[in-house]
Amino acid sequence: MNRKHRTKNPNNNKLMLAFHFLRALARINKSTSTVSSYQRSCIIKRAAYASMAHAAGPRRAWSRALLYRLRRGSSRLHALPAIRRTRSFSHKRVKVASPKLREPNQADVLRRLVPGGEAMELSSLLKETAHYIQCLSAQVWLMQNVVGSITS
Amino acid sequence: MEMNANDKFGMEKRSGVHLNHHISVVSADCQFGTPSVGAVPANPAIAMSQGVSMSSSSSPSVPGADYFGPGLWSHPANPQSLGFGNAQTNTGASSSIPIGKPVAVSSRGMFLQAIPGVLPPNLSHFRADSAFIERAARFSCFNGGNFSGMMNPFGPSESLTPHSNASRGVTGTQGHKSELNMTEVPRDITAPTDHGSSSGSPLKNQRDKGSSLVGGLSNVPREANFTEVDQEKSTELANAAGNSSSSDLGSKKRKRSNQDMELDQVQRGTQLSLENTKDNAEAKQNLEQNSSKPDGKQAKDRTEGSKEDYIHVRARRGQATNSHSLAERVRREKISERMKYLQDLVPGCSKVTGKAVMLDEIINYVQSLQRQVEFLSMKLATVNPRVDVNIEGLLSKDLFQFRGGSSSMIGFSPNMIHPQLHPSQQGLVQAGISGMGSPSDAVRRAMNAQLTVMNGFKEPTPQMPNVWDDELHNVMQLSYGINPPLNTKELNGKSRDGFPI
Repeated sequence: MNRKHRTKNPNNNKLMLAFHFLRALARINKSTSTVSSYQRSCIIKRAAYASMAHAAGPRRAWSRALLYRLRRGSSRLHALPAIRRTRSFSHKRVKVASPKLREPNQADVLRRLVPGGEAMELSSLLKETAHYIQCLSAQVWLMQNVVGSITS
Repeated sequence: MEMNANDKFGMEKRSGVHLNHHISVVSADCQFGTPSVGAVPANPAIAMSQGVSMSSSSSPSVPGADYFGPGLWSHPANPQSLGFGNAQTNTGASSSIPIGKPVAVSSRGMFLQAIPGVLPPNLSHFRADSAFIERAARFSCFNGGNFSGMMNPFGPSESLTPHSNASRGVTGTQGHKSELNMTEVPRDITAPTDHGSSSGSPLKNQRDKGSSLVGGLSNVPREANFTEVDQEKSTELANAAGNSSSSDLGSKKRKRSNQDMELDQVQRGTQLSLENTKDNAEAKQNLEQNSSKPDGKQAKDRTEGSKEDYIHVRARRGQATNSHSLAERVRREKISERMKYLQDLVPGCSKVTGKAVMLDEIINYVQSLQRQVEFLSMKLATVNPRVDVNIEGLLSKDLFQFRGGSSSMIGFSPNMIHPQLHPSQQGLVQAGISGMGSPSDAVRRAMNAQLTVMNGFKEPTPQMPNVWDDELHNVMQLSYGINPPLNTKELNGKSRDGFPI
């Protein structure tokens, strides 16, 4: 089933992405007219991640984690929600926040990068990373197109 | 005579080999002939008949035997079995064979249920005794039980529990490392898998063990192979968990029983030395080894998408066969497969080899993508104020771009888009749209018309506003062009899962 999804998904994904993101953009344009440029950019960034998570669907751990993070209203999008470790969606071992200092190896760095990657083992982390990269690149492509069409 | 379970086992072991061979052969034959569940009861009857013929003294007084008796004798008139029993009578069993007695047929499930609890401890002790009849009967019953389990590979719950009990019983009694490996390997392997807790692997374990035990009886006296078996015994038992499909299992069993038959004929005269459980365990492992040889040097079989949810692994030739190392190898191979997939995703990583470097590249790529998103959002924020009309133009542009790729979705019928919307509402929605007073309404409607004409959809666009709030109506009009080609399943799935849309 995964194989089939991969062949059809990119276009579906991009369409969903475009739908959500453009809708959010329009909404932002309409509603927020007096905020600063920086806040606006933050809002747009959150909208981008939200639309990405929505387009990815709830099947992915990272999209669930991302939406959870967004819903919590954390100001920093890449912040580590402290409560998340107890609510890991993966059934594998949970990484305990041990006080001992460990040299951050690459897997840890990747875990911090990918939303929801804290509580995953390496194999599922890689899987989520792959999907996350796909959606991220689609989002970037979409935003580039939007900017390009706006400025042209 | 008074016989408890242990007694029976001791007795069985002495005369065990001959009977074991015969039983294995017969069971193999029966297996070949009628691989249906219905054939399973034949086996116990056959074995029972043979056992009766073989053993010097019958054990009718044993309550367990009596318990099994009715069910076992349910298929008395089996010419094959009778012929076998008569032909292979080695010990001058004077006891007449009450084979043909059509005792009341007990439900197969009855003795099958009873068997696993009783049988497994007995399997390891092959001592020829008068109680061997019951021993063999139980054994074949266990085998039959296993067959039934094998016949229903996809109904693990009902057939698993007796088999798992059996396996646990076996491991408990024998306490062999190999046995433990055999049952632990699927646990180790399945634990790291992402699949749900299917019982496919233990079920396969049971199947293999049953079949292996059948053949193992015949292979007991082969001491020569024990040394090599020792090294590979855990492998083979792990291989038991490595069966990936029932068909493979069936073929393996057939091969095994072929081998067993050959062995039987060769070694009929040399089977006497069954002293302890060690032989039995080794025989089992030997059998596994033999059985694995024909299918033997298969590479690791990944059946992630197969009917069973477990990933069955076979230890490769010359590799460590510890259960932990097997599971570790599964994990490592999974990781390497995913790294390869990531290598395709990340541009410019085709030449990079090695996990560490790849991980570095992946991390860099993810970071760069995130930074790009941030940068573009900042750009959008600055550019956005004069975007009101541009977004619609952008939408149409996007739609043009998407059209090439989403031509498959354009075929979606409008009714598929939002099942929750009643088609009768479309007229209302359309009226609602026209009634909306938005500044660029004219533009939007023009665009809508344009888009609908382009897409060939006449209706679907008005469906949306019914769903969305009023404040989103303007936005929805923007998205009309995109909605029809959307994958409706995804959209519906998303809206139903509680995520705020």
